[in-house]
Amino acid sequence: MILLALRNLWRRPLRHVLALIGIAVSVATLACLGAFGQGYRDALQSELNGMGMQMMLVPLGCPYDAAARVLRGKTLEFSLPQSALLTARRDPAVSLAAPMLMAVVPQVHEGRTDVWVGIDQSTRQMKPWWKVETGAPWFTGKNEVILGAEAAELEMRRPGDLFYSPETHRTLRVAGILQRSGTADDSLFFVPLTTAQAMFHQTDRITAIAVQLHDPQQTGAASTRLQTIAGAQVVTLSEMMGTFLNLVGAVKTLLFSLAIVALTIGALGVFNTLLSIVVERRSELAMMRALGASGPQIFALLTLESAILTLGGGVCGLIMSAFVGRALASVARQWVPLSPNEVLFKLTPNVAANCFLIGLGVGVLAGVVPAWQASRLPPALALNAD
Amino acid sequence: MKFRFALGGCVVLLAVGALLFSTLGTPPDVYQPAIARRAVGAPLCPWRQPKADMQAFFPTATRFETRVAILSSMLGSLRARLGRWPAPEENPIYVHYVFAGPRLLGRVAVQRVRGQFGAIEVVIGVNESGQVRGVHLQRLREPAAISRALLSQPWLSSLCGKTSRDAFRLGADVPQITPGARTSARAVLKGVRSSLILLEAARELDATNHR
Amino acid sequence: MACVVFDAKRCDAGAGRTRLKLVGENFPAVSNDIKMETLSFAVEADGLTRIYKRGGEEVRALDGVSFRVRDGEFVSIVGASGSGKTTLLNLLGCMDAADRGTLRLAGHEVGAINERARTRLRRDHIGFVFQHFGLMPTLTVHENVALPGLFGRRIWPSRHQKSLDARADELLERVSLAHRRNHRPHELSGGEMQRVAIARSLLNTPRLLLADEPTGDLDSATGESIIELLQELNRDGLTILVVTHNTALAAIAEHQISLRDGRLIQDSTDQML
Repeated sequence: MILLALRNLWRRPLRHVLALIGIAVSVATLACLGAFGQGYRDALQSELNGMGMQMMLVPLGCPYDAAARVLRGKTLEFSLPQSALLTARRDPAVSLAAPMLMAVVPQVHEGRTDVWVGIDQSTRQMKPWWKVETGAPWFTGKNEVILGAEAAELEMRRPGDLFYSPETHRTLRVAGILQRSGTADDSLFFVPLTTAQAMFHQTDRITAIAVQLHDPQQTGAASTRLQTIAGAQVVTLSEMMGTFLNLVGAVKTLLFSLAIVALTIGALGVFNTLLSIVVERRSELAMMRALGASGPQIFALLTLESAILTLGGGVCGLIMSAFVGRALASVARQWVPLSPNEVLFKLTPNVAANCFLIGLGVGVLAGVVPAWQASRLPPALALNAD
Repeated sequence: MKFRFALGGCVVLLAVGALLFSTLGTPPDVYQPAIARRAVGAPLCPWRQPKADMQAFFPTATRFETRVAILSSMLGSLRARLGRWPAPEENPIYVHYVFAGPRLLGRVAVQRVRGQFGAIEVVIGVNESGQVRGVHLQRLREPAAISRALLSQPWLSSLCGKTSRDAFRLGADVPQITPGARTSARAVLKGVRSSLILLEAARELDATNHR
Repeated sequence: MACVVFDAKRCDAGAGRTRLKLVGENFPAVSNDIKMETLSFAVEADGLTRIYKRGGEEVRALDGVSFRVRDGEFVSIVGASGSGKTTLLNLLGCMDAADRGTLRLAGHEVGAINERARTRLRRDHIGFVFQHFGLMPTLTVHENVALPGLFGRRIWPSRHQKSLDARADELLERVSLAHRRNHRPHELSGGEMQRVAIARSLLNTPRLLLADEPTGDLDSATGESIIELLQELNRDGLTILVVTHNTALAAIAEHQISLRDGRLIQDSTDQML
């Protein structure tokens, strides 16, 4: 039966190859998306793990409100007291607690926002991927700024240049410029924590504390203890990751809807091919019925043909995705929000098997109607055709 | 057979298109400022207040059109005139053509220059004779005293009537300015001269194309 | 139960199944649920009527046709176009059902069995030879002959494959086409293709061979060789019913049935109707 199905498919090679390509492209699309999703998730996980941070302490309430208050030079209601940092550092499970103070200054005429971030040495320890393009790797004085790559380009600054903040009337010296990372850091102005607190009148206040634990297994217990700090809420790494993945989720939904379109086109290709087979081989199929083939056997033969077609398409699609996926992922990296540095394309056996089975299922399903039609052909057609 | 071949081809093209679009077309909707794109030079400078600047430079103006001038064919001549190779953000450049109805009044260019305390964005309007009609500093990050000096109308107006062939020495060809503002003022003058040369090159290019 | 009256060679009383000697005893019987009864009549048709509706009008393609065919007979069915020959062949081949009348094939009341059983009856006890041969162009001669054996079992190759291959080879030898075993149908002449079709029809050891114009697409010399082959098969005990316009073929039949406008007008075993 398999031999018969293969020989039948070989009868019209061009048509069947085109149907096969349709399925292959559909499976490749699915596989690329699946592998990209898997790669992104893994890379993000790895990057967040690489940060050495298990959780963040943030103030209760809305961060946008806090930003508005910073702008007006008012004390933040929604910020953490520096004492929270001391409390966090005293916790036995905490190995490192890095504070940061963020101040957001919208430049309405320019359609952009200046984001100033106050940090200390412990923050730098939590950012192992930080690399300085030019200048010093860290502040040598109080009134210094380290600029993200994009911010430096926009302000045309080099290490040693002066940099003025009109909103806070403070002149800073550019200590260094960070390498482009593709993350939010590229557009930020980093200043020492105490300088930021003075600039934005936030003495002894901080916006968030990144927390690294001695043992990640202790996340639950440490989270419960740190939650008791007044005005603070704990956001764990998995919660943060969930938020990032949600951001990507909307885009993924769009991409998957496109993948479904591709899959539908592939399925229509198989449907069209099988339907043509039934129409063309009407008398031949009836003759097989006359020779003793039962309706289910004819159905099985046609279904086998569509299965072979989609099987071949699935294999080709997976090979295609393995070649094309990496190249596309490297291009897509530039468009993806919060792009991790690791490989974004991971065609795991699980992803490959899922995509293959989906492709196979859809292809075989598309062949069901033509196969059913063929199985209903009356054997008397064999004589009538004669 | 031909029809089937065409149909099959369409299916393949659609599927490939869907694949490329689905993977490449990811809309950068979040973390907009953080999206990293490799650029050799500084980002191109937008014209932030076109209506106000247009009225100030050309009071009868009714509209403007923005075109991209690719000056690659004039690199040698530009190097001679600028005294340096054009920066990546200077070729190609955006030239804003200002009209009163169908009549071309002049051109506007915007350039970002290195001020003492941050970038300064200089807008310059030039008439069809190549003379400066007006200069506006649309964005600067200088301390208040320096900003006041740079933005003072008498100093900026002194640049009107200048052409790309004129000298721009501070204190000689252009009125002197307060000592604290001189570094940034020189940067502004350099920007004005560069813009004049680039606009002149763009005009020459237009004339060549027109011929 | 007694053995077949007219053909002692076909008797296999121990197994309770009939079998053609000419195709050898080695080939295992194709499984089926229909137990063969040893009867003297291969076909018993009584008042067969088939009515088609064409544009709201009733057309009697067959009208009360009755006849009997003994085991081992060579029967020719003749008649002009539209006389009901093909309709009768459809009914005899279990490919269609009569509106009225009864038909017994190999001892089975065809009207009383369901579609599935009819398919099995067709597969296991009836062989078909078509005018245009009906060979699968993608299969070799050997594979074409073995094709009906494929439908007697499941999708995956079974242990019967070897005996199926041997059986196909034996049949090709029988029709003198062993040397063409691995050729494709388009590489054969018309006569060769019809011989392959005859070999294929014999694969499942049928009790009845139905042939629709077997010489219709052949020149007279080739046609004669096919007639000789059919005669030879009949001599070996196979019941053959041939629908034909070929007078030579009709003439050699010991039993002739003539149809006109769906009615049986002559049955050579009976008196003129």
